[in-house]
Amino acid sequence: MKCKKCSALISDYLDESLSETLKDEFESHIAACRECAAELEASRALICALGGLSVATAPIDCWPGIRERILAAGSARTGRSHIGIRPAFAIPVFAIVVVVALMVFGPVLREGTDQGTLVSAPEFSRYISAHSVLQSQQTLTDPHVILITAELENASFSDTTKDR
Amino acid sequence: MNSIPDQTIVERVISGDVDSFSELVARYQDRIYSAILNYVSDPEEAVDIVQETFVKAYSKLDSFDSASALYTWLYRIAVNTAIDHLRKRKARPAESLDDERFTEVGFEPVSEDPAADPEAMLARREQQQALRKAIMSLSDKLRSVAVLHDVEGLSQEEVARILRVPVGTVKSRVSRARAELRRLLKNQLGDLI
Repeated sequence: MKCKKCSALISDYLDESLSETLKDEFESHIAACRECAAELEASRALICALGGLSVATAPIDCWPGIRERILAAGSARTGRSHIGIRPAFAIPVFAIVVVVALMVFGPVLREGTDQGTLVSAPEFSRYISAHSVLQSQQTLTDPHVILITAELENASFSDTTKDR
Repeated sequence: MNSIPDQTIVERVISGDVDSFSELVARYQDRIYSAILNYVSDPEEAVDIVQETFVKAYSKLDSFDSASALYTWLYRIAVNTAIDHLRKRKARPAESLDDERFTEVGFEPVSEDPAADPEAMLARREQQQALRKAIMSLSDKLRSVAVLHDVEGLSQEEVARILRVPVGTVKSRVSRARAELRRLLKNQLGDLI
């Protein structure tokens, strides 16, 4: 066995993972080569020193800080958010409400006059009511909500007394 | 308290008993802290990473596979958290070889044995500081295997599971890490024997 190969096997030898044949070959070379023997001892000393590194003690009890972070992150397993609708679901829910409203009141919308699409006051009130139900549960910071709200408010309507 | 198996505590936490998690923290915080000190030298920074590690572990308890040991699972989270922390910081802590933070409280326990030779204690402390510095000079990949295998004493199979690499890769990296550490400590190896 040559020194280059012996050097490459030092780590495996110290981890006792060499086959018996290779181990014998390795030890024979070590016995005859001072340089490789010195490298082996240096590696052995290094591994011993690494294993002897003391386990440091944490300077503080980490639990209070951990607990605080867990509760702050809202990842407590016992509860979900107390808000009825999570902001992430607000837009899809609102979109569904609008679609349902359009499906229900769609025929009314299509009863337009020559002045264009008109919405009777009572029907428009129903739109606003449906929108208000959801609006009360969220702040108008979502740009999509603001846009749709503005469009509803801009919709023209006629005061058709015959509908009362 | 140590008589309660880790898995029992895990199940309690998953069922909603948040405060039971404190027992797991008490059991492993020192080992995790000690391992992380091989990545960052500042004790405060290390404590921050320890806390982040346990918070992540808490949020992922549902995914913990009871077939493996909890501490190997914690080590994985700790190593990844420490590496992420270093990447965000974009700094190699071992650049300042004379970093006085290596002597801060919590880094190495001081022997309270009144019969201990002060010179021997000092030499040992210096030796360990040199080792820590050298470990922190390694690349992330080599440092992880050196810490987990040679410092923490985990088997190559356990290290492979933690790092999710083949055992052969661990073996290769261990060999390279040791060679690199020998190179870094070349002038001081005489003190290690």
